[in-house]
Amino acid sequence: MAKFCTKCGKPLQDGKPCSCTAKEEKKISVKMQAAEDEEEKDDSKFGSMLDDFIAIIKGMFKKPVNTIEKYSSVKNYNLALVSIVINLVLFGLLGHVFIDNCLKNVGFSLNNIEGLISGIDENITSMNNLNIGLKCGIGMGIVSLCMIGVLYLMHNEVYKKKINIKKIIVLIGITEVFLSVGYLLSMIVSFISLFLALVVFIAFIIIFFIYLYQGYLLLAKTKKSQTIYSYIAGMVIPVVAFSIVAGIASMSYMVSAVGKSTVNNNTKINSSSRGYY
Amino acid sequence: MAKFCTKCGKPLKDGKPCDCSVKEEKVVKETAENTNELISNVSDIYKNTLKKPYETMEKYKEKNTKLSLILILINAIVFGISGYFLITNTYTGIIKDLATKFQSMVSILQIDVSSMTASLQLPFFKVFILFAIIIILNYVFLALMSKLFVGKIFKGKGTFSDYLSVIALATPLSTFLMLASIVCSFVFYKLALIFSIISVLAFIVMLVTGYVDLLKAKEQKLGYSVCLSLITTFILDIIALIIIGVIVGMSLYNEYSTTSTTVPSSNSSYTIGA
Repeated sequence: MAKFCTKCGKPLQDGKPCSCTAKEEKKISVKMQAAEDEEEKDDSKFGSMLDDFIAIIKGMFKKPVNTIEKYSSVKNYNLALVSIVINLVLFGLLGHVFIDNCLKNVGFSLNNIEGLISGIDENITSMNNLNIGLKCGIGMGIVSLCMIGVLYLMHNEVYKKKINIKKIIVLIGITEVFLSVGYLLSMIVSFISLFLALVVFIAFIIIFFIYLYQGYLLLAKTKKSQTIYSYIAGMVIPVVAFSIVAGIASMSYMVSAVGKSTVNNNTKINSSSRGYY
Repeated sequence: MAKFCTKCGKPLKDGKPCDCSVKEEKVVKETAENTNELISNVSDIYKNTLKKPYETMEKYKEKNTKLSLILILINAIVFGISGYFLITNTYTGIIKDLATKFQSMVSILQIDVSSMTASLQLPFFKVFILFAIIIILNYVFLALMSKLFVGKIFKGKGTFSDYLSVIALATPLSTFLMLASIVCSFVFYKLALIFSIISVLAFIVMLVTGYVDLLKAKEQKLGYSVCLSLITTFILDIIALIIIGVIVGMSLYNEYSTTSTTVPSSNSSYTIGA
């Protein structure tokens, strides 16, 4: 049995480790904690957050995988939360604008209809307020929460590999930056062509899910097959929700297109009969 | 004893069979071995794809056209069956739901609407064939569009058969989910529809994995290339459906117009405008 410590040379007491070992372990754990704290220290300055946001928007269109890799650290947590909130606000606006433009094709407006419904006794209609925009926004928020929750549960609880939930939130937040741009574009295009707006919306959704998958592959510590199952489980609710939304949007577009052509035909018949008389 | 081979006409050596029959036996034996290997590969894929979808895909990544065609055919058969049962059971389910909803409104009139049921009578074989053809065409279009966008425009690698091979290897997981969808359609049609959506999601996830890992597609452009491939495939599917619809419609019209112009009389039948 050694009588002196091999690291510091102090005499050893029987069967006990040297106190210098305990101090060294404590130093290492303090350093590690400091490093983690440094990583978790969010850069909450608004100016740099805005610069990062703009850089992410540019990067997601040119080199999405590199951008996700670069910005997927916990220090961008606040930025990710802001991005998720912007995303659900824009989705709410998109829902309102799209339906409003569909109704305008047949001579109505969504504000008028919402006003009408709120004036009707709620015992007759099952809703006292249509509020499509608000419902879309809340729905998008729930979808984002589901994605984060299920991905975390699958990774941590089902496959027993630890992951920081903040990293998943940051991943979702960064990829939703791309989706937010898609919502904005779709909203603008809906004033020109509803069909094109629908195509833009669907295209951005597809690309978003692919980018999210690529980002999750970088982040996940599970085996590839487990990552695939985690991702599929995490995306069930969002994909079903977006399929329903796309279905409703397509039906709204078709109904408005049919309505518009009917209105145009009636206008032509009326003007030609006036001309006859 | 024959002096010349009856199959190839070569002179025969004493007591020995001709080379050509030996070769033929060898070819038959090789074909049997290849067929056995093919069957065991297919069953291996379906056994392991639920536990280890990625590892199974990677194991069979070497291009094998016959294996790809068999996997696509199996998927097409399941899709054909699921198409029929999804349509009929969803229709029945929606009618029941509507009847239950209206029950509260017509209860005042003391009419029991909820017991009313409706079933859609469709010819199983025709619907099955239609759906099977659609999905096979879909995979062919997808392979073509993937070769165009993922391969050429966005500078990936791989031939048409490489893309078809990846598409085929991406189908087994979605085949299982479609089977689940068929079973659910008898119980709860909404769950069946959800399973169908999940099967599409699983297919796309496996497809993207295959393109990145097996075909080394450009990762930075994968979103655009896959999105464009899927959208153009969808457009081609719609065009194909319209063409099939027109052909089927015209044949039905011809059949209908031939039978309807025949007017039976008490003594004789004659055809108007024939």
